[in-house]
Amino acid sequence: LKGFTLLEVVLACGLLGCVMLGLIALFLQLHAGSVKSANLTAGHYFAVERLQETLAPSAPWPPAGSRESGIYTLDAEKQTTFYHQVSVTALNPQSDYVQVRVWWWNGQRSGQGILSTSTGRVRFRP
Amino acid sequence: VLLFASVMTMLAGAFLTLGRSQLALGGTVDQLDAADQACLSGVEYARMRLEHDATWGIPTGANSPPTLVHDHPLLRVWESRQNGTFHVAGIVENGRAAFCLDFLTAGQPLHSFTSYNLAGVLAGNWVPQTLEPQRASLNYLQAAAGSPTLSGSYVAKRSLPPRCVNLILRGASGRVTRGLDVTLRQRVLFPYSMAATGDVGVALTEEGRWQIDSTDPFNNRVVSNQNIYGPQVDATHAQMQFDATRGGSARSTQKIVLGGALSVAFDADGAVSVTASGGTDLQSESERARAGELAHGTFLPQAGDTQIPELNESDLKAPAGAQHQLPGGHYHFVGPDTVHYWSSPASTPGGTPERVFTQSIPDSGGNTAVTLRNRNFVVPDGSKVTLGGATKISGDNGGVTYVAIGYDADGALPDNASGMLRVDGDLVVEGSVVGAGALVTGENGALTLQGKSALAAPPDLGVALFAAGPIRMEPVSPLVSASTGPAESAYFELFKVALAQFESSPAHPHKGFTGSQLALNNWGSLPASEQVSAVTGGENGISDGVTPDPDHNNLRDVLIADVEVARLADALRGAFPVYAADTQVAAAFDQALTRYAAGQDGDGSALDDPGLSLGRFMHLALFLEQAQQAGGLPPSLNMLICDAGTGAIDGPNSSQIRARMQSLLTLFDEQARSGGGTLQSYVGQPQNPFLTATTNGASPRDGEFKGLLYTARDFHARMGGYRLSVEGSLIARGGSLVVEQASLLRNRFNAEYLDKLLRSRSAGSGPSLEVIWRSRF
Repeated sequence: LKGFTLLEVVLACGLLGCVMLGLIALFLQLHAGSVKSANLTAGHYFAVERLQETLAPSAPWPPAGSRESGIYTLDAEKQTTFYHQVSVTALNPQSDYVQVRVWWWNGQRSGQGILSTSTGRVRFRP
Repeated sequence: VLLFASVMTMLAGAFLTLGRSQLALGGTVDQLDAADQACLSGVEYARMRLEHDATWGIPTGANSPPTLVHDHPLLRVWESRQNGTFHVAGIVENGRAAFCLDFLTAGQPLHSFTSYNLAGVLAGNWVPQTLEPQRASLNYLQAAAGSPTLSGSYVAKRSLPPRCVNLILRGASGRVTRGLDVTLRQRVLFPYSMAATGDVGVALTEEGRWQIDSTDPFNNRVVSNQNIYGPQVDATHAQMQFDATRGGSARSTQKIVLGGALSVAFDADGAVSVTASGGTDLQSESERARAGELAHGTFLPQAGDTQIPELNESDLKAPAGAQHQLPGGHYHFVGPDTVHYWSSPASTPGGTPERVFTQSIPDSGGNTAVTLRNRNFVVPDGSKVTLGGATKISGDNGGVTYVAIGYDADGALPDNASGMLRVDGDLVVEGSVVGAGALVTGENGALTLQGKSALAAPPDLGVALFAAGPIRMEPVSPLVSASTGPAESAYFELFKVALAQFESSPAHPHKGFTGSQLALNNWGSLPASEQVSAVTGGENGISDGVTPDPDHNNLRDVLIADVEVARLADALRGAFPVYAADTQVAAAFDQALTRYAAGQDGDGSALDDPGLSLGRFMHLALFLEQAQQAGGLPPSLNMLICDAGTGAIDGPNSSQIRARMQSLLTLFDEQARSGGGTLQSYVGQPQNPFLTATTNGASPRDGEFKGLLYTARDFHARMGGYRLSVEGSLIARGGSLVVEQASLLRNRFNAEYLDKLLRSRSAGSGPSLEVIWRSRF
């Protein structure tokens, strides 16, 4: 009975190791992408919600300062903290452009690019 | 190993695809929101433009290419006109998203049209694109409240009421597009037919009705922050009726009780309160549903408080012209243009007045503040008159007194007329308030009106009654009402026919009924002697020129056409109950009627001219009047005898008949002028304004109001069996709102009056718009 040579075993293990390492790296990247996507979606809805609150007829004007919020995205035990900032730019004497920018993880993380989103629209001052 | 590696690679590929999809989804959500926000930005931009120019978006004028009208990195907007379409295109946040909206002309059938491609707008290119009619926006803001609601092929999405604008927006970001359909409406300060912070109580006569309708399909509401006590609503007797098509609602914070017996009381401060005993308390769902079905509306008890805005005097549109100050007191008409004045409003007319004013009342500087004309206390158009204390305005028996706001020197109501009468205290008007503008009682002053509050002013004008104190309304007082009665209805028809015949007949070439200078249309300004001549003839009789023409025609002798005789005779019979009650009276009346028509006198002797003239009809009417007073045959039947030869009136009765004709013409002339019309237009109107309430028409004693009626305290109207009609809005901001003894209460919400009367809605400041519909597509 002829077995595998040592060289064959080493090559097989090396190949398997390379594949496994590549797959692990890929899965890690996919996981990071998934986390980013989930955070982006949550951050976006947080921004829309803040914009609606800011523009509600009963809301104080000018808008209140920044606010932070911990939102469950992927891991219930590790909530992502989202921060937001409202900016108001006068377009003309009767209207403003209200923007809400939301960011998390300081807005940037190695390998994940920019971690922020924004929304905004015109507000008419009757 | 290879198999394992293959499986793992496949899994990795699957995860990679999933991950990319997830990221793409995130991007799409972002673009979806950006497109959505671009549409909303478009709405806000449109609001901004419409608030300053209600005609913005109406596609009139020559074609024009896209022109940059708003330039800011966060919002750039271009506007253009092309072939009957007005285009608006905007880019937000330096090209992150874009929006477009395109207006067609409201009121014309919609059609496909050419606009611009959104992707092109984002890329900075104007690429034409044909759109379906459903993508058209419509500006219908300037349509009057009574204008038709647009529907069918005239509107893109849903029916569009007047005073609204429908915006159909297209938005895009990246490859995502969104649509937004928004309807804006002019905001109304008081969107209620009737509202009170206290109770609302309505008690009708047995056959009475409470009719609640609206010119606005979205607003037809009666609101109380306490209880609503309404009339009976059951299968046999639904006295409360909302608009049968559009419906309406009655909303209260506490109870809604229908059909109870109302008890009205006043406390030591004069505040009115109302309670009900018995009736149906609409507590159960089934009771509410049943009552709602019968009344064509919705009943909402226990519905929570409604925020009824507080109105300040400064919110009223004030005339820009002269301001005058006059003392308060008692102004009492003793003649058409003569007023006696006492400094105490409680003084009794008679005796020596402190001052006598003729034709006008000057202020302390000698300038004319108020003009006096045909028993009208006229606040001229464009001016504000302040009476510095409690005031009463009344008149001698014989005619209704008017407070006329906004009239010009000729006694006419100009277009867009506006005046203001302010009283620093209580005001009692023994008569009516007519015209256009505002009547204000400040310093907690109460406002008491006896008579109509506004006549048939042009439909685009109205009166604001603003009282810091309570408002009280009553029908015409007995003294004043003595000049009018059931017979006026019959007399009106008689004069209507006679005057029409007089005007059209070639037998009367000198008619005097057309042209403002001629006798009948200048009736109120004629001296008494000329009025007599106009009725009976003579040197100053009715002529067709300013200068009296001796070749005159008189009104008394105009012959009534045979086809009208039976109807007019029946009207007289019905106006005097003695005819039906006393056979002798009826026989004498019928015999005289037949004899006159056949050319005989009341005693059967021959007359020169057969037929029934206006004078002979008046002869018959006065016979019935005297019989009515006597309770049977009058003391002398000689009054039915006419003078042979003159063909009209015998000596003893001629002056009486002439005076009656004269007073009736004066009454019709006053009514005509107070409504901004002429005697000709008044007598020519299709409806008899003197019909009694029981014959389904109006009575001079009815209360009729057009405009805003606002009291900072409470409102009480005791109608004595007559009608009260309020078109506009009736608000009691500090107490209860009670109407009792009404044969008909009609509340018709009409926001147009509020727009005209309130400063915030005045022309030039633009409409204040609210979103009433929003949907995405």
